[in-house]
Amino acid sequence: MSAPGQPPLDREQLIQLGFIEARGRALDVAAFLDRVQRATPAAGAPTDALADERVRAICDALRLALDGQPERARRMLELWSDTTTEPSAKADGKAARGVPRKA
Amino acid sequence: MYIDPHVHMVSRTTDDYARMAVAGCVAITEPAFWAGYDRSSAQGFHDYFRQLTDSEPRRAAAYGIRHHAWICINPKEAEDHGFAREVMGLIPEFLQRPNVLGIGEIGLNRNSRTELAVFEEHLELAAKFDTLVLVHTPHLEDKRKGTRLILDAIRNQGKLKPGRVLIDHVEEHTVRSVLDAGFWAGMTLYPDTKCTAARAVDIIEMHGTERLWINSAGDWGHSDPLAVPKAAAVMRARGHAADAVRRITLDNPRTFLGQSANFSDAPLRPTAADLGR
Repeated sequence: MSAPGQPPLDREQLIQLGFIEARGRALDVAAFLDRVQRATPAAGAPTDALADERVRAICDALRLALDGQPERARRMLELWSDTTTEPSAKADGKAARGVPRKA
Repeated sequence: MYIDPHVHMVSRTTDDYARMAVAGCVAITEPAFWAGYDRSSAQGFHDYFRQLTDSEPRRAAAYGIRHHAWICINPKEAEDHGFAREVMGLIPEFLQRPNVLGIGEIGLNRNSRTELAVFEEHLELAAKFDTLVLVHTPHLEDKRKGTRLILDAIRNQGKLKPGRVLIDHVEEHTVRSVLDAGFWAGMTLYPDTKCTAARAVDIIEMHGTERLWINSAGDWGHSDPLAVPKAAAVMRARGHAADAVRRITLDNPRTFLGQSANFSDAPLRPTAADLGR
């Protein structure tokens, strides 16, 4: 029986099981950042490819993933969360965008 | 055998029922939700509720799957308070239908004051009719705040037992607060915007199997009505014992849903009327 939080498989088994998929997803993130950087900025938009707060949020999350601390997934979701506490006066459209708008 | 406790079959083809039956699905529950457009009248909801309580159960029965429903006005169409109240006026009639388990999926979408007020009025209905409750938590950046507002609203109302309320679409940053407060928690398996199967199994490893289930929430968007059996396969590949897989995919939904006398996952033989549609 595993201790709470401890997977039944050992580290080598988990790497064997998940490495190729994780490698592919990591490559997708890198390719997304390359694609955004290669693109022409929209009219009136900043020339810095990382100026968009959604793109910057991904880069901030990548730094978090490398900090060596546990619970990266939880902390990444919290990094991308609205931290205000009061209900809004009115619904701002139907769809969330993935990261909060900066004031 | 498994139960998919949250799937929007009105948006799926009959082939999906056939595939789910082959994969071992014995029962589903279908919460009322947003159809992808705003309905223009309460009558539109009345027709939708008839679909959930009349035609959809027959379509499922043709494949030996027991169909159950939850009734409400979803938070995406709750920003017009007067309209929401008109739709909520229809709910008591449909709570009497034999496949209805309770109020759902209520909750918040963009965490607005009106959404919260309509959510609180649904909670009052659930208390009045003593029904189970299925709660939708918001998407993406709104989930953490919305989950906190929802838990506070249920606590402040104080009339519902946490063990009769399931808070759905939990992820790594919300699951602990839901379970610690005594509620049931649902993990939704979506390719991009909610939990992947691998992350759902991580959450099971970190938080245990008590009061936790998985669902596909299959609908008209990017989703997979076979997500539950596929996640069960991931659990097995990750070394989890058969009884843990069964607890998450069958026993836990059965325990929570079985608090309603209208729930059943007993073997179902379709009637001639079921097969004739």
